[in-house]
Amino acid sequence: MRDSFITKISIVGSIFLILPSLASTQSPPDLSGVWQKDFPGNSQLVPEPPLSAWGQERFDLAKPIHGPRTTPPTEANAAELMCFPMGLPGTYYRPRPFELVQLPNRIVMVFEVNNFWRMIYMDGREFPELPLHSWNGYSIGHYEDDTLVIETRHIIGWESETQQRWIDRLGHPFSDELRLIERIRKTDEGTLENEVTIDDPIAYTEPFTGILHFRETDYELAEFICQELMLSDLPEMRPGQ
Amino acid sequence: MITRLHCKIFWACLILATSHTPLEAHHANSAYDRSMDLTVSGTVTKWQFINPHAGLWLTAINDRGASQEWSVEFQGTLDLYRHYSFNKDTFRPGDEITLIGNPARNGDPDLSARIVIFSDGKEVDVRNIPD
Repeated sequence: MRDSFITKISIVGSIFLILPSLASTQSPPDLSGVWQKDFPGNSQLVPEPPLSAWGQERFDLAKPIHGPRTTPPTEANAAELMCFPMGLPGTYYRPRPFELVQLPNRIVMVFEVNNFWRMIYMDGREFPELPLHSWNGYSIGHYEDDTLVIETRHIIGWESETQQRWIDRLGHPFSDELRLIERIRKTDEGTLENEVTIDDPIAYTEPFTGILHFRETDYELAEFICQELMLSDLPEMRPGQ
Repeated sequence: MITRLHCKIFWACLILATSHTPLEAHHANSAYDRSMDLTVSGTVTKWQFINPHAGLWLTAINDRGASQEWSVEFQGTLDLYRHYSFNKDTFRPGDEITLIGNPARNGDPDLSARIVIFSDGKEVDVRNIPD
């Protein structure tokens, strides 16, 4: 009787011990490929982002070059107008493809716009104790079944009227406290869904979630150097005018 | 459907368009009047095949016989390359071409390109991006 009980306990214990290792040997979903956004560049994650007073004040100072508050480029203060990165998730709104490359311990996203790359560490690490804030932040990720879950922190937030940081192209700001959660999966063979959650207690009164879709394309990424605008003789393209 | 006239001299045609394909661009083209088309014919003087927007310059003769330099804004290089096979040699100084596009709101001789008509009659609608 006692032996039987011990045997059962042993079996159950073994299952609990084995399950995690079984899970870890599951093949990750194949999300690799070149992806192009499938939504308008002047859209937003949710119809009414829940702006805090801090957020509203900065939203009112934004002069975007897209959407209902479109401002002439000579008066606008959108980061992209000066070829600065848009951070995340703002970069997804640019009409340029990105390539997702899955490696064993990391994922690399190569964005055609501004030739920038993003590393997502998949080796179980934590965020660095000493944050190094950057335009695209620090990303760690893991798989949950067919979904790649990415958390990004340490993105440089809104700084000033001339140093704007937005989550989209319409002027919705974010702060240094932004915690960006992405849940990326394929909804069919040619479609990528990114469920984006904005958790920024400074800029918004509560977290909110929207979905961005991308479709696979046969483009090969090519060089896109936005700073070439410094060479442009077009009257609209000269910085500071 | 866009009603279109072609003019032998620049400036002659201001045409109201009833439908335009929206083009997502670096600065949303707010500097250009999307409700109007203007046709400019002339001689290419310069082609800047760069990002985020390529630029073309041409000299046109107006109906008073005076020449005027026009600048024409296009999309960036990769859209032009992928969809229309444009590259840095697509236009050369001396080429005779016709451009149909949206005029600058401020009245300056600037155009946002919509249709290119090459000297051999070939037309390319550079707003017809399948994305």
